[in-house]
Amino acid sequence: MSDENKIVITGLGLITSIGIGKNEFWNNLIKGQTNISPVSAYDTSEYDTHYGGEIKNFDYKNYIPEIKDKSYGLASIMGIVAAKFALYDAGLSYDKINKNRIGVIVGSTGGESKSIEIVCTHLAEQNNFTKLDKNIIKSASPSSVSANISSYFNFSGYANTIGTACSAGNYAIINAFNRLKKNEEDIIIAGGVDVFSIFAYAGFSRLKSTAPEKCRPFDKNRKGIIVAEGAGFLILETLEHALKRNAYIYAEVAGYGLTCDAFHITGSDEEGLGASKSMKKCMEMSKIKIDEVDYISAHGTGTQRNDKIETLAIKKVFGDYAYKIPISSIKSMLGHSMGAASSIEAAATCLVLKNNIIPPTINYEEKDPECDLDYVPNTMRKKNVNIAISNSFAFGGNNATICLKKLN
Amino acid sequence: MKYNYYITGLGILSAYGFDHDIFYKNILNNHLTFKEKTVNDEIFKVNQLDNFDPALILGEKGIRLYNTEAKLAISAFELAINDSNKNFSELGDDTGIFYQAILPVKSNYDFNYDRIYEGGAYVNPAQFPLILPNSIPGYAAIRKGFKGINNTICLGEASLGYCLESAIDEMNNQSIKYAFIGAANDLCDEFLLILSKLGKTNNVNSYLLSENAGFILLEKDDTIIKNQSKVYCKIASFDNGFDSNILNGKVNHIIIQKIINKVLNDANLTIDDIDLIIPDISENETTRKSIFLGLKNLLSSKESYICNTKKFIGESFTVSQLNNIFVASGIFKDKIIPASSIINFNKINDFNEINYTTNSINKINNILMITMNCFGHINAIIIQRPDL
Repeated sequence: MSDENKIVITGLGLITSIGIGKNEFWNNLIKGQTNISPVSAYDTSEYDTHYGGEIKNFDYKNYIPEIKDKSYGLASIMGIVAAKFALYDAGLSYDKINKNRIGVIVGSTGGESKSIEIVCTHLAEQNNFTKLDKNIIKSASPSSVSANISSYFNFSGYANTIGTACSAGNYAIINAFNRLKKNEEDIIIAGGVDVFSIFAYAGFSRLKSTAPEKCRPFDKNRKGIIVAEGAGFLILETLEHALKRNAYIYAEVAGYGLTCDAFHITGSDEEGLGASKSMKKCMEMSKIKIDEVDYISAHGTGTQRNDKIETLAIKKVFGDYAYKIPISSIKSMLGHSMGAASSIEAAATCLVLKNNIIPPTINYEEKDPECDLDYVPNTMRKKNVNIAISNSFAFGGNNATICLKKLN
Repeated sequence: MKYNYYITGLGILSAYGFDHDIFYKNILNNHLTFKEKTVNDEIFKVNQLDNFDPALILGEKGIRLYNTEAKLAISAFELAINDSNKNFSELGDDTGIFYQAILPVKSNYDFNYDRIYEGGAYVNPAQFPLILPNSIPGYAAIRKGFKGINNTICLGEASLGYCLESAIDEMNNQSIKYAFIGAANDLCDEFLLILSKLGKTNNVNSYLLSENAGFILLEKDDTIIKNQSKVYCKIASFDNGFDSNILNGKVNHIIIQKIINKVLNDANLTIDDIDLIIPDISENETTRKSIFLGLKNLLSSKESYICNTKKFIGESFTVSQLNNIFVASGIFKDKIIPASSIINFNKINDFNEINYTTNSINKINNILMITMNCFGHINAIIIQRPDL
């Protein structure tokens, strides 16, 4: 494979509970900052837990004042702003690029959660749609998110919405990787977005998977996830294209692994077979050896089961070397932003490669004998990181791992 | 790019039959099975699988967890596996499932209804995964132990090309050797009301809506030879794209034309080599006219066979393109095209001006399928007679 055919990341756009934009996000991430707080968007009194990772300081009118609410759902709005950030970060003026050679690929659990909630609630209460704006109904379709983002910028290349739940962001990056390898587009904006969803909150709560106040990945007393929201979009292009326009390159997407657990609809298989195979396939495609991996961005949701299985899977892949790799879960700070999680984590991993700083897993207080690896507890760590992998393991058994490499 | 991918299994669930041959023949013979269904004083014309018992196909085990869409989809999936005559119990690691989805309306509605009226603390946790579009391929994989890859594309009726793309990427990467691609359309009451509000029940195809499900199996030539698989048709080429004009209601033929030219080029064909066109003829005037104008510009005064499968099957959204493939497999065999006409695009202004009847055709090697959803997602697929 020639160098020119390598796929690289040149721009990052982030909207998260710890930062709007790449710089605020990163500065807070390495400080171990969290804004997980009591949920304000909904009454959670009937649930066992009451905390969430809402983005409380995001006003889209600051970034896209021309957008009218009814024409776009919230996920589309967040996606547009994050895509705008990413394009700006990549030094791309969307007025000047070939709009027929740009792709937009969105990963999400279901697209416009808020619109879906409005539609379903309206029908339940009114038994008809007489008084509901049909644009809200139309926006409830997951297709709308990639369409709205593309149409906002007037891009007519390629657009896709992938619905593989918590691994959807990685799936979007992988879709982009494959298309760019075939020279189908010049640039692809790929990532994930999900808005805070009471459906997700209720569902995870009823599965007894939500933590009371803090997300404690890999800690012995971890109690579960914190439902959150966010958007993370990355600009991907070929190395040749990036070099031609003198773009800053965060990382090469060296390869990926996709597997399916086929075990249980909400849980990974107990021996970590699907997860370990996902990592192995990723490393095979990326042509890297186990002792070349400098960092693992964990899926690390904070549930007893997931963290144990992910630890087991990492050990299966890396053997004794597993104990030498720093592993962190930024969900400890952000909560679980569902379809956006893996793309936010990919963006964070790009910043790890750039800055040679590994963000911590916060709220880590007591070691679990079944999770005995190095999770970079509570404090960031400076380390030269050249190669990293980022895991995501979703409902439905959708496992996706990507490998990011620093380009020399 | 030359493709060597073939369809070697078909599974269909439809009011026209649970077998692709029977399905095709019933459509040829105009065996319409619609009924009128009333929801909130509104009358809908539907093909619905009223008496369908999934236990007949799937057995009793495990299906209690499934919603209607899952029962339809996984039944069609099982039928495709049976049709392929392969022992997939040994091929699980090499097999992927690629699902075409829209929003699981019924599950989201029911989950939310319980949340509001029973209380969030009492919603059934088993219902939660079903609100996600990727639950159905997940359940299908669990059922069969398929550990290759799962993917879920949420572009509604335009999803097939994107599923093909994902499946072929993974087959080219040698992650999998077999790919099941499928969809299901559940005409629950809530979905009918949504369709009505969006004006989708005022369609040009006799206002008919269809409940059905379908799965196809995709294989590459090397495994076909090894397995001696029967082959229904070949995927000669496909392309996916997006037109940002559509959301603004602007008819635009340029992008469609570009995509059609690309698939012709990739298949080493010209428009003259296309024997039959199956365009997506939906109620949406913008997409329908964009496809029409794109074809008109390419064909000019050349006469061409057009088939409108929705005329008899009705609108089945995510399953539409799969229905076209089921019909195409029959056409390749029998050279009879249901719901068709030979037309000169210069003499008409819209697909809904055409009188569709049954036609025989002497030569049928290449079929072009084009779809665009109401958001502007497009795919074009050329399928070929298998023995070419």
